[in-house]
Amino acid sequence: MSASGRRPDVPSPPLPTGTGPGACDVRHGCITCSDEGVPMTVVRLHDAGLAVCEGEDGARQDVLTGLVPDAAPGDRLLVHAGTALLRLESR
Amino acid sequence: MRFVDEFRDPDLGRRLSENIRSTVEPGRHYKIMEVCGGHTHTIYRYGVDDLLPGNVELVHGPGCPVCVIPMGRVDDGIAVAKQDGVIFTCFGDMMRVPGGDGSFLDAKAEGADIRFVYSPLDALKMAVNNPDRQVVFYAIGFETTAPSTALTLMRAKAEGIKNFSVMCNHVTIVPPLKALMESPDLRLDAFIGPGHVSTVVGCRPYDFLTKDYNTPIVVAGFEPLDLLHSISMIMEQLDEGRAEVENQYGRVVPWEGNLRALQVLQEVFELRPYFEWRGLGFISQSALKLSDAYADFDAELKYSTPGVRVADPKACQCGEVLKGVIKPWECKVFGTACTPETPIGTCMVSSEGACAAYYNFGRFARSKARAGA
Repeated sequence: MSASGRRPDVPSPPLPTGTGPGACDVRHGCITCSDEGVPMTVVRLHDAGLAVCEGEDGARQDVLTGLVPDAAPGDRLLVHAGTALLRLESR
Repeated sequence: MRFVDEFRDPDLGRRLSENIRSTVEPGRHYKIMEVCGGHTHTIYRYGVDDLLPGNVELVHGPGCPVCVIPMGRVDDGIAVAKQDGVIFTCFGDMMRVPGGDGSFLDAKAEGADIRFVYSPLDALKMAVNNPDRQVVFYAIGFETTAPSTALTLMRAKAEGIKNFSVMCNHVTIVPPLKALMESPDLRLDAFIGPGHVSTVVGCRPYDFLTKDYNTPIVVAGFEPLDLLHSISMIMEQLDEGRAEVENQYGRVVPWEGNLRALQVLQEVFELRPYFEWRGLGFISQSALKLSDAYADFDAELKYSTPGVRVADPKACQCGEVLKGVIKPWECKVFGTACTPETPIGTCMVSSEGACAAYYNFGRFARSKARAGA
């Protein structure tokens, strides 16, 4: 370790696969409780304020759309903790 | 993939790295804090700091929402979870955070009905599906996550759901930044601003950094090139003697934030007079509680909790790590007594925590380098 506290310049190791029960995926970071959002596409609208959305990996989930009230099928949304924070550009 | 592949281009990364090197003043040591745990994760995962000159140091700040929860609040949650008839829910990362007397996972093993959920909405659905039980959601997170809790509560109120409540631990981003700037043992040259918190609050709340402290901040995205670009923008500001709020993440972050989200937050929450942050102590007006209009959903009014402040274990140096005073590997118990499997401190629990991120992505590199030396 250098005196400046910086990491030495060596290649990164293989990635580990997990950190135990209840942990988030260390490869991709925590998508539920950190302050990161993930892009998802609206598949269909449930009712006022709720939509079924699909992630990049094909997984679907219910998403609250109260902050993007005019969300429509095909819209790309930035989703965090089950809530759409804003609309990204449509495909 | 849009928003991803374009921001991992090695050639662009090298060019940005060269640009940063060209603005560095020899002999000066730069300390730049990334506030957000997501940024810390990206830095360690992709080795972003390896591309920086030796005198540009990245300091990891208190932006992991799990890491800043004090032990006493975990004990309060466990007390609620152990009440008869309660289904206690929280995000996955919270399960292993140690309190004064064990974690939620320990309490679950002892018989408490504690389940982890991916959103507050999942917890609300659980309440609908279990009308004879009381479902409590242990809410954590900054302004990014708070709207999700708020919208869920608005939905619960509109639907007249009576067996759902929230134990609110939501925190706000600006007060800890002020606390860091006032901290006598830390001198920072600039901040990398949080990306998705800023989608909600916008960029204006950071004006005080430039006006009161003459310190630049650049709101940044989460890809490796986002971080290199934001560091490059910071270095240009420092080189030119400027201190401004800049938005590198303009493809996602509106300058004014999400006004509807801010309205929702204002309706459902109000500021607590003070709140304890792990490592930073009590900070005034730095956290949210439910407003009077949502008092019926406030778990802290529904259930009694110990409400006792619990000191961190002596060996644990999460406080210094969260303030950026020491690096994770400089903690006495890092990687030995404290690992992601058996965490002593919160920074080792969450994948966004500086210690866990470094443990997972950086410690092998250090071992190799020492062996080589």
